[in-house]
Amino acid sequence: MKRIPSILLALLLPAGAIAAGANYNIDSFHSFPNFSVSHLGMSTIHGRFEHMTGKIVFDSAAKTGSMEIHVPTATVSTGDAKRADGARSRDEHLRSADFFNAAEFPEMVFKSTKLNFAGDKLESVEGNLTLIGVTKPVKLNVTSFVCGPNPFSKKPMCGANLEGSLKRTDFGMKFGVPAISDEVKLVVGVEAYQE
Amino acid sequence: MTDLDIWLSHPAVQAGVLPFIVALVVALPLARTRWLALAQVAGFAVCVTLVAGWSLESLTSTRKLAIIGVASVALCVLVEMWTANWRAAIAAASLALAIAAIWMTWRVLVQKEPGPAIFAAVLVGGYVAAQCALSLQAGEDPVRCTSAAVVFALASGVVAVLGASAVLGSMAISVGASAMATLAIPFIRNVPPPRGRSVALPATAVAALAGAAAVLVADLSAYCLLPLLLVAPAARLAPALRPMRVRALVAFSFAVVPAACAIALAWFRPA
Repeated sequence: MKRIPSILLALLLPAGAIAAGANYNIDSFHSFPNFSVSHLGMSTIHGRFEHMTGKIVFDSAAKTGSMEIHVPTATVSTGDAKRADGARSRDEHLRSADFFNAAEFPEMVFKSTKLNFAGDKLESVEGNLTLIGVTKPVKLNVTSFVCGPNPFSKKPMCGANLEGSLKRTDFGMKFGVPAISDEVKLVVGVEAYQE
Repeated sequence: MTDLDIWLSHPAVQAGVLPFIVALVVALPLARTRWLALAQVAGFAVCVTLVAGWSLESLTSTRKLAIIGVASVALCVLVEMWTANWRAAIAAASLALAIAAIWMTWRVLVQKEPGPAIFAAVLVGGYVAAQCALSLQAGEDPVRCTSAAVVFALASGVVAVLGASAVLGSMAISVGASAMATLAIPFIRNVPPPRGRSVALPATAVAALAGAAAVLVADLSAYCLLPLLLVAPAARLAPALRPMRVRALVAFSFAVVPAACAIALAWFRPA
């Protein structure tokens, strides 16, 4: 009688191992959050943050998971890092208290609350973004999502592109509105390796 | 965007034109009282409304500066009511603003190691306290004192903008414009404003705090603020000439010299 539960346990274990979520560490060298805003209603200014870290837990069978992303706000980059004359550059301005206030809030954090699936396909990620000390919900739509071994190292990995938008005034970033648009479009490219 | 939206979003309007007009309107009934400085707070409040808003969700240094700027009204009242020991009043007001400066920059200070944090706190608090004390000491001559405050506030705004923060710059420039409005009425009448020690306190407090904040939360180098400590003393060196208008203009020109040095230091920064 005692062997039966053991046999059952042995049969159940592999299934349990498959059902458990896999943990992934975000590859900072190949993951970047990008953003764009309308400038004076004339053109679009693009920028990104040069560094991103975080963890993803993903269980494709159970269709659950979580994502936590940390972005140092001082790494903002829009192609204007330094100017030859005495004027401050756009990137320096973005780091100041007028925008990302990197000195007071060195990091912005996105923590997912829900992963939405359409069948087997991950469709969107809902979560809370904490920016300049304010936390608001943000939804990111998944435009592509692929998991498989890295073709060179063979390490299991996943990659995704996520898109969304937010209103920066919701986070208290009021400077320059409407000359610099309130709406900020987000495109996040993520690659992560299984632990 | 409507024409009004475009006009209201123009930096010169937000930081200069509207604060000046509002301060002028508030100063008119106060022109013969020792509460003339309160008009500076009114102009400042207009700028804050347009540039940053009054939301307190997440108390950033900028929002704390807005709160302290408005609270300077209470400091003015206390300074004017404190008639017993004038030196004690200057010390108390300077200490209060030094503490306010440390509170304003607290979120940055706590991220530093203890040694650098204490050093930065002493510098920030000391700078603001020094500017406050210099302003109150100069208050015995409200014309030269207010002239110095105008130059100091405008210069603080310019160096803050050069330090990559237009919001802090706008706040400082707005109190400069408001202080100019409080001087404009006596200037037009060619009659000195009534004696009031706190005649330039709100403008000096906000400008000093904006400069200190620009060092910690923007990209302004601390040494750029050093010449600004000489603005009030420079104005006091100006001869106390009889026609009030001439006295104000001469005090302006004396005060502009160290202010220009500060702006030059902020502009010509090392590569």
